[in-house]
Amino acid sequence: MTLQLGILLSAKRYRRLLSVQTDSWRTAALTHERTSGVRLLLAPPTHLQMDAAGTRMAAATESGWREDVVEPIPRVFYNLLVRPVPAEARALRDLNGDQRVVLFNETNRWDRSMINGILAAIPETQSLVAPGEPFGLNPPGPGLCLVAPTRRSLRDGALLVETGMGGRIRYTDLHDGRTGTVVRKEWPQSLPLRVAPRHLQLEYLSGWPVGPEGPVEWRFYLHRGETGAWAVAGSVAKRDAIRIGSPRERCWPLAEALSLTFGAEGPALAGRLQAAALSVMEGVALFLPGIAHAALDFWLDQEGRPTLVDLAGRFRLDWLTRAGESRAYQRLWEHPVHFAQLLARTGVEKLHVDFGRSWGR
Amino acid sequence: MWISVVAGAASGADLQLPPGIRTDAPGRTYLRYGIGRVGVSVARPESLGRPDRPGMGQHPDFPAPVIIRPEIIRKLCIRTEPVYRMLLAPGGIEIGPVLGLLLGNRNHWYTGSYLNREPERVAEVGRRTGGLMVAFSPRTLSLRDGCAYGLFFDPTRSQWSYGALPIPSIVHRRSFHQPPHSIERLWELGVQVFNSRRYTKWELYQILSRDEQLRRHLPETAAVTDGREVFDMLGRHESLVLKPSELSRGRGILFVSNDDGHFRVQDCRSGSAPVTTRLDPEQLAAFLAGEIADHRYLCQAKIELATIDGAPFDIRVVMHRTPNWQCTGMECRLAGPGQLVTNIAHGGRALWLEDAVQEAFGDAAAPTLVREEAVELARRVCHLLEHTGESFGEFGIDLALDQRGNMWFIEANVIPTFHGFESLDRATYRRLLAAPLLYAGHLAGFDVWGG
Repeated sequence: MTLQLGILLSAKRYRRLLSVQTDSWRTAALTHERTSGVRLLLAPPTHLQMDAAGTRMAAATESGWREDVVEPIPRVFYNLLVRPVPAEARALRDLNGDQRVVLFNETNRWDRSMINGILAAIPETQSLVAPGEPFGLNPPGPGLCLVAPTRRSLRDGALLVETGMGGRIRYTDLHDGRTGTVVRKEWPQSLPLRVAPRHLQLEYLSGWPVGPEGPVEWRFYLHRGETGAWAVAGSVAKRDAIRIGSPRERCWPLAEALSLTFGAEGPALAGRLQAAALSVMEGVALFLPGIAHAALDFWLDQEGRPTLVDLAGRFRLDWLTRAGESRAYQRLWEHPVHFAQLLARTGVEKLHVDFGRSWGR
Repeated sequence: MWISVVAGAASGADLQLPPGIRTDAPGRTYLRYGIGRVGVSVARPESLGRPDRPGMGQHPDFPAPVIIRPEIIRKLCIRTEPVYRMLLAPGGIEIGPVLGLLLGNRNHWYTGSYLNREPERVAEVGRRTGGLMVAFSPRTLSLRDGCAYGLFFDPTRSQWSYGALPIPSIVHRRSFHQPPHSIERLWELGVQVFNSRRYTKWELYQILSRDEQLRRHLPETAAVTDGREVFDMLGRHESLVLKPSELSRGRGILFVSNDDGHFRVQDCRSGSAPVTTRLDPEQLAAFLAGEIADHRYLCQAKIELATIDGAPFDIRVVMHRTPNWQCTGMECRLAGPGQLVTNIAHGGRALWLEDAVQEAFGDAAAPTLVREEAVELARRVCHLLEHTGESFGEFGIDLALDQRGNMWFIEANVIPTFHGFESLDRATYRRLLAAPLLYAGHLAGFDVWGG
């Protein structure tokens, strides 16, 4: 029997997809319909009429996405909205409360302090998060510190701050790579803050991030698959959020970048990083059981110690193709579709923490 | 007895009671914590000498240490941060209370800072009951792991932190965004859930109207199916109020009144000043068919509420189980300028009952009698709702006086907010926030009201 999987996206993106002839989503949808019998149907959550017999959604055809009344209405939905407008947020909330429906990935944005708080509580992951504190009027103590926005990505307003002897504070704006110096009494008013101080937090780092040709983020793309277990769909080393000294963005296959940076220790480090990425998502999913995908960015210091610096629900996929990981792109679509098949079989009550791995119990 | 839990070697046993404690607990007994229970060996108290210091264990600031083997702590998910009470009974030893706040399924929403919005509640409960407060969602309750993944209040850091936590024995339901089977699952586990159900306005009306005494306090009400009910009632009443059966806080309300062969619709749904339109019968029928029918509305004869300077007010009676139903707070809510609904969320303001009655009626009404009647009516509502078989710990009951001083029942909220009290009296506000959790502590078997 064909499973209908509703893909929720913003009204803006929906309109854009309807107007184009070719796109990778449509190719993925057609492939899935042929190979796994899953029909992907697009709609903004605000368009859904769950109490009606049918509702307007877009299905993939050979010539483009075509909108039509879909009957019966899908009962499994995968949310890909990142910044829903209030009406979309309300529609998502209603859908989440609808007993007939399994909605997974209800949100793609997580509070940074929440993620760090969860990981700090889990024995296997507590070493992966930098000890943090709220951003305040007092400057940080000696050492290297990340000033990170709690609800946005690092590129949107993070600073790397290093407090040296004599109280001089050197900062690097991760948005544009610019650097500067302030003295303690100028903290925080002289910092180039792009985010309100109440939405920032301080995270103490073990050392400067490293990578081939300057610091990079070590990224892992993770998804839940057909058993509900987490799997790595792809990985890449990229210079994106952190552009210190070398502002051009660039990427490498992760294994290659690790070997370039850490020599013979690279392969072992790759295994440890992958295990760390899986532990992070297994841990996070205990507290956020509806989560179905994420991109994780680590920094590595000179000793190869990883720190998780970002966990994102919306992410650029072109890094994978640029790093020659085109098969990973396909896996990014396959896993959630298989997860949806699992949820369709088990029902809403199984969108539950016991899908994941337990820890320390 | 107030105790602190210390992980350590318990004199060769699983658990070592504080020095000098008198107990009938045998060498081997059960240790209960939340819904968890394990068999433990207990180091005999007589071998442990006299109490170190007099008064130890008599006050939360001076708890007596109970040493528990780390394996037992892990097995029962015992948190060592809070100060607990300990109950000794022939059936075993209980450490607690472990109280739960049941959150909804929007797990990403419930952060530590979200829960910290009510620090007074936590502080007050901590002082009175001790024990562990756990906030979790049905989706993060793990039967496999025997724990709830959620947040607990850590008094040593004065903040909510994440952890693998014990499943509480008593749960205060703080959200109704959970599927019904998740509540049934909790009951099956032996968890007592109170505030187990939220009745819609229509269900409430049906339950309360079966009671003869209450019926005369209920405005005539009908469920709107196709709009004909509205026309029928407009034949008998000058004005009606249309309310969504499932919403609260004054959301979605409209007023419809006869207007010289036409109908005046005052639409308060935007939340700002009401939008007034004049419709002929066909237009009203079309409006009702398009915007009201199929939206689970009910229509109710409009009560001409008593007013202060032209602004209507109603009465919020807060009822709590302490352990019997008791009025713990009463305030009046005066509609904001230009508003027809009285909710604070719509710009209304709170005032004491005595002041409101005095300003509205002068010497024509006695505030004491109004208070007594309101409490009596509210208590009757609580008893009737409890007799439906559900379990409740608090209600915010909205009543109103009409311009002749007759009292009417408007609504019963199972998870009321206390914004009015927040501005009127912080001490009352703190008491109201803490009351359901104190009741939870009582249900868990601990003395929270001093005997």
